[in-house]
Amino acid sequence: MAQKPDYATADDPTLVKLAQKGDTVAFEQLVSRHRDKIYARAFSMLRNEDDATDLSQEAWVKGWQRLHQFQGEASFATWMTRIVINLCLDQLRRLKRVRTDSIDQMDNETGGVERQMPIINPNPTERLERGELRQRIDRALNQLSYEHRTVLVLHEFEELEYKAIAKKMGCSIGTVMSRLFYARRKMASLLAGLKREELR
Amino acid sequence: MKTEDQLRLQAYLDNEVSSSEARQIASWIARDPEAKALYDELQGTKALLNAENELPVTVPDSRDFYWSKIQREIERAEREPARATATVRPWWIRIMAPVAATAALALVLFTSISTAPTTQKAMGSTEVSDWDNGTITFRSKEDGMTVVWMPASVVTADVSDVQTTIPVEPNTQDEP
Repeated sequence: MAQKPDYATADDPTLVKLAQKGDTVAFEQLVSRHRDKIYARAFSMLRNEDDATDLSQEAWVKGWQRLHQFQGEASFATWMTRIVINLCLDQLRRLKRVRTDSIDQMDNETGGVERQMPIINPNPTERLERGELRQRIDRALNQLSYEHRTVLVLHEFEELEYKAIAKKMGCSIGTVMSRLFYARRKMASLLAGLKREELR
Repeated sequence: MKTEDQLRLQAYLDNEVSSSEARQIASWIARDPEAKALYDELQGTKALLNAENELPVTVPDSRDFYWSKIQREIERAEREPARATATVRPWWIRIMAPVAATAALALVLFTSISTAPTTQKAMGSTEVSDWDNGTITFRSKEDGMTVVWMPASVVTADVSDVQTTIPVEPNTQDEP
């Protein structure tokens, strides 16, 4: 008689192998371990709790259905993160289609005023506590258009190269470079602005 | 500074240029204060935006509640292909089913009209109930129609209660 595995202490590759054979308890353990990471990535892109919860759950369902395709080249968490990112990008494309364009939106898309913006003093957030810095960065990210935020998230937090981002977002490498540039400049401006506001 | 040059500076920062181009850009930054200032700003922002500085967020639902929806969706998705396979029937059944239903309907009509165990007449209409096979036939001369209700047990096709309307005296004046 086969010995029952200790799910709580088993490593990810072991749980993945069990799940690939149809063991849902092993899969639930994987969900439990990585659900915050997958949810956080969805939230960082969508900026909405309900949408992030729904899409992260959808990602787990897709993960289960495609588990036989997982070969272990990347870690399981990285593989799952790629799935949730793709779902978020699909969702954002759908939202973009129904959204009414405005002059502000067009400005955001092309970079607008950031191109002529004066150079910001680097490290505007120096001497901040980690928690405060995180809050400030999150608030600034929240003010970016979704195209700019997405490219920043994929490049800085997921460490994807220009080419990979272009493929995921369905645009040219030039567009990725342009969006990333304006996103960074906007972030520098927002972070400096937040600092000034707090000093008053 | 041209947009193209701004993007070249950024590509250098992100290690997205060839080694020869990297040397050219490094030299440009060293001699051009404007390029140096922009490069420093981009570098400062990049340094702040790393995974460690990302605000940690957690799933707002409990573990069990979060998993229950995933489990439900997995089970539902796995049931659906099985159900789709189960509903595929042989071609001869698909062809014969409507024929059998029509034949059964004709038979019921014939027997109910010929035996007519219970008959009610009112205002130019007739209702016939056949308790043996459970059918009810309603005929209205005024409206020029006959309606037959029959239970699913009478008809072998995939229908529960069948309601059929047969005009006995078509009113051609209403045709377009």
